Amino acid sequence: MNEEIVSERRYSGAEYCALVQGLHHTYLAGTPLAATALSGAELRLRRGEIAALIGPSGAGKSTLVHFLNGLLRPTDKGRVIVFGQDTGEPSCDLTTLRRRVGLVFQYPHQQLFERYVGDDVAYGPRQLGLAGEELRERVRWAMEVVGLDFDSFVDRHTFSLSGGEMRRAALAGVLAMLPHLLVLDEATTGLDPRGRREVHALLRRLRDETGLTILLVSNDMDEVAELADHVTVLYEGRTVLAGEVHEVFAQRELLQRYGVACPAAGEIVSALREQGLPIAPGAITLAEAEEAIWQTMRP
Amino acid sequence: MANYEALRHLTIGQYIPTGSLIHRLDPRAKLVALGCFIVASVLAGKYANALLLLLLTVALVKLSRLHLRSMLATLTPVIPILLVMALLQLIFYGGASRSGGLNRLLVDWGPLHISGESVRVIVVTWARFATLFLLVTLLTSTTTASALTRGLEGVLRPLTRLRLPGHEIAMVGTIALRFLPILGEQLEAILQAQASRGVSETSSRWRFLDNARRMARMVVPLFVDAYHRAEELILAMQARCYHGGKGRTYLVSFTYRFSDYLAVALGALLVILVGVLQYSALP
Amino acid sequence: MKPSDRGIRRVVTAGLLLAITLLLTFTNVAFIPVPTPAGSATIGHIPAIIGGILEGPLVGLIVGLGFGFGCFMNPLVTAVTNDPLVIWLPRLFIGVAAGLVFMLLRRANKRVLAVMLVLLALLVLYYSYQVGGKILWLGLLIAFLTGIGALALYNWARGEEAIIISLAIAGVVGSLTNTVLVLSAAVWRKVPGIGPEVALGVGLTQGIPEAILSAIVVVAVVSALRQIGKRRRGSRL
Repeated sequence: MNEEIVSERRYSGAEYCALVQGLHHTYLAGTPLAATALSGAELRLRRGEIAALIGPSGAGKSTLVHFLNGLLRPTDKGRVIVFGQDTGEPSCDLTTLRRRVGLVFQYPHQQLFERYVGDDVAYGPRQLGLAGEELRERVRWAMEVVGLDFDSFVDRHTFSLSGGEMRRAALAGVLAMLPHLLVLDEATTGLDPRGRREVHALLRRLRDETGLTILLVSNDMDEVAELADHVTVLYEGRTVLAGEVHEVFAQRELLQRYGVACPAAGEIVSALREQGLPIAPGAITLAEAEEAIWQTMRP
Repeated sequence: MANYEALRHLTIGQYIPTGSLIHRLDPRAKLVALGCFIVASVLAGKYANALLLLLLTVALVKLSRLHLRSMLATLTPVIPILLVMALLQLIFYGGASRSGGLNRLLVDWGPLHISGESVRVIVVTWARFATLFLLVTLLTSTTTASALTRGLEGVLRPLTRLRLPGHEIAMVGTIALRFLPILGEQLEAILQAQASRGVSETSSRWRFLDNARRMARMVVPLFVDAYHRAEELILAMQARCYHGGKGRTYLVSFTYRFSDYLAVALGALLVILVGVLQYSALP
Repeated sequence: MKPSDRGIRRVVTAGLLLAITLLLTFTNVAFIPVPTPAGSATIGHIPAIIGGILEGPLVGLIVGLGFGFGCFMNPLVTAVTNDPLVIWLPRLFIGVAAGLVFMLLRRANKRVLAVMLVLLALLVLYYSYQVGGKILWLGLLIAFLTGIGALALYNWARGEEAIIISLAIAGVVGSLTNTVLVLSAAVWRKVPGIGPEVALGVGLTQGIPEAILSAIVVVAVVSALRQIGKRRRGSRL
């Protein structure tokens, strides 16, 4: 099963699977309640990487992300190109786009609607034309990947699941469509630490085994530091900073000005440096901090 | 639906403070006055009183310093359908009679019989509709949600003397108003989430069962979400020993002022005036 | 449950269902813009039905009141008529009827329901005979469609639990109450453009699909809320 998925993804394409340039967007344009959501947002996603989109609340992260699967399309200035398709063009095939780009929202109950879990996960693949045994196998795979035992959960009532289980079910439903880009819009907010670790492990596994590109929208800097290779910072609808994760988090004053916190590990290392400990800067994850502290103790 | 965002803002309910006289009226007075207007507009069946009402309403809107044009703007998507409706009614209303006056036939051309009466009915219906729409928008634009529900409760208070649950009904209204924007956001998120899953929006009319299931899919998460919020709210109210309306007091109380009495009096006068005009000889 | 708890439950449920109703009617999400007084609400009446089913006829009444209010404020509806007796009054009974029907049926078993179904089919056949007297092809058509419909229903009902069937019936009753009462009121009050024949036509073309839609949605929602349907075989995989 895994081999199928892997081969499906390894097709040659441009280096960037998603490109957003100079995007502007106004909510409820033309009404007295109009509000500018985006004014010059930029985003570049390289195939096979785990990227993160961060910024203070209201910066426009969710808005930006809705452009990636065609929920919103550029009407103002700007271009959005996803998997080679320009979403601003009327000829853009939204159905294929939504198949390729899987968007997972923060609250799982907004995404679940079938009475039984199995049916809900099967919904996407069924739309794609899968049926019978093939469908069953796809659903089984998706559920096992997220950690929901197929046989015990397939006939459960969707809304009788616990919060964490619903979240997994929602994720399974999206994964079952075999997206090439997975976007998680604050999908781990509110999870307990163990749940979050499991999701992280899952995401890493998916990327390593299947080459899935992942975009994380998150307010949790520790999570971003753990997972992401590349970070884009959005502030008041504009992209103000973008780059490799260590580079971005090294700019502490800038980040502070933009209302973005730093990973806890980074804060600890900085605090220790201020106290005089000769620690190498730049650690952002717990593991890196641990290593850096060890280094200072070696003779 | 391409425009998901609009769900969050139902223009009919937006409070726009301009500090006018109407804003400062007691909400109970406003509700009673609105009631009078509604009664009057139902009574109005002739050009004279329908137009009178419409003009009065426009005057009130001006008085409240709100923008008449933006209020009417919410109607623009609906206008084509209204025109079609009016046309159909014009053609099919069989109110013509052979007697003179307004009832004479204006157009008598084959199957089409358009009488003065039918024209009048159409115009009056439109005027009435415009009046009511403006009035309700006026009310919600000049009164905050909490003032509205307090007003509702105040108006329903006499019911409690008749041993009817006036307070509870007002509480239902309060809860509904408070959760309306929240549920609107939820619905927006649900539609976005489902669209992302490939739930298609366009559908042909003939695939009725599919449409029905699609509708159900959209609606079930909304109800489930509302239900969960209901459970939380019930728990919260129980925890605070809510026991209904008996003996309930308020932190902020409304008092009637002269302008409020005036508003109600004018409302009552209006009803009488319209009634008189209706049965007079005016067109 | 203490009486006051029940009261709180009713008030809160009514409030939230009313919010949904207003949301649905104000945003036209559920409306098919067919310019008839009954037909503008495709699912706006469903919260009233659900209120009646879940918490009883009183809650159904209140949400129905709210639905009437919502319709009253909707330009698509008031363009036709804004007689409150046509728009508002009939809507009160939607939730009440659905609630009462569900209360009566919830303990019923399948046999009772099957009998009801047969009676209903007979009723429709009789009606189509009446219509056939005036317009032959229409009567025949109705009878034919009823036959197909009855078969489909029977097939479906065999696989479902009794309570789900009761829910479906309550949904249908609620929706038909809406259709029948509103159209009757329109005819009675001599709304321009709505004569008895027009009302009948609208009632059939709009009312029946709406009733089916109501049944589907009501079953989906209530079974999700109350986790009904355990004995069913499960997902369709």
